[in-house]
Amino acid sequence: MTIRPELAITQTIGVREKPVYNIDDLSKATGFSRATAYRALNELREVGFAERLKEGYFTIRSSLFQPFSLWEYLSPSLQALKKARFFGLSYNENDVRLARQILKGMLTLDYRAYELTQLQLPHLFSIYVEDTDQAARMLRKHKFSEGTRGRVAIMQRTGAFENEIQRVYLDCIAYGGRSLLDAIAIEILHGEKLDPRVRGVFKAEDVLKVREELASQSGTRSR
Amino acid sequence: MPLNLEHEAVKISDELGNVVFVGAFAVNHYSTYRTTRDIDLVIASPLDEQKLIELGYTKWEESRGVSWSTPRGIKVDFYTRDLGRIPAAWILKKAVEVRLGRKAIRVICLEGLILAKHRAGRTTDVDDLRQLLTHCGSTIRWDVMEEIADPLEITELKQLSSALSH
Repeated sequence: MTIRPELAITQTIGVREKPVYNIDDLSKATGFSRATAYRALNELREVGFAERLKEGYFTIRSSLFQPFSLWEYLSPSLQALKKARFFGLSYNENDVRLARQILKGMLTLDYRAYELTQLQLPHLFSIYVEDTDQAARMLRKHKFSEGTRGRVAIMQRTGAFENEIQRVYLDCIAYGGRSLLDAIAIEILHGEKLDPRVRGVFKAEDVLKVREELASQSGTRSR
Repeated sequence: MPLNLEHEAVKISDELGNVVFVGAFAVNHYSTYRTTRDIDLVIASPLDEQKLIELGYTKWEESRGVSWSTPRGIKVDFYTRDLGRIPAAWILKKAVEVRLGRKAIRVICLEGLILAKHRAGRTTDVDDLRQLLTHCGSTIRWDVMEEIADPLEITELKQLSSALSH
């Protein structure tokens, strides 16, 4: 997917990060008229950076605030996230256990990041599958329901998967929020497996937090 | 298997007495979500370093005096005065009791947690705030919020809550 460089101006909305924004926020931050701001918002939604809520509000993934040069690498992850389908049965950890048995594919985000870093307890079970319709049928056969709040997310394989850790790293950056901490931990612990030309930009306080947390795990505290 | 932080919270409460759990651990109480393995807590009295050492706690080497490791190796950050400008005394007074088996621990009330996350404003706090408002926004007691938040913050939080809550 081609992303217009002009869209990078929308990053100015992130001067103060908020859980939701409205069109006036975007208009003020960019200097766009409301009509142009709406068009920009539609583009952001198409790329996968924004999601519409009720009452004219929308959410923005924090990956929008990554350098524009990284956007093309994030694009397949963003597209996969945008089309992700969510399933639930008991809406707890049991769903994850069952989905692990039923589904075949490549694990990413929370659970894979936890396997790689042990940094944050996982919540969403996200898995890339060859065919989302087939995976959905399998889940329904086991009484899962599709909706928006399930803890099992199936995602269509899109983009490059040759370097699995690189893909998980980019997925974490694309997802944004707490997953950024996973991306930082992956970079610290598995940096040699990542393409040095494709790196995220992170806030110093987040990097320090992750470093401290990883140090606490490896028992390097004072005695 | 993921570490059980609830078990650790019970141990800490047994050892330290009047403490209230805040931060991501508290977010996880109100809405199952992600958390790192460190614990943030508000404590009633000034930090008694000697007592902590006797209990087997060790000072975190890079810390400015508020970060310690429990005897089980979990990092704990202590807040003794305030959390995001919310006075520790208020947090202690309004804390809610949570039963964990036969034991109980105390967690910051929803209103205090939401305001603390709103004021902190880092990417992870914004993520936590979104999670809290989505799942618990409709249960916020605005009269309690008025005790600690200014009118502008309340207006903003009401807008956010209305946009996100189910």
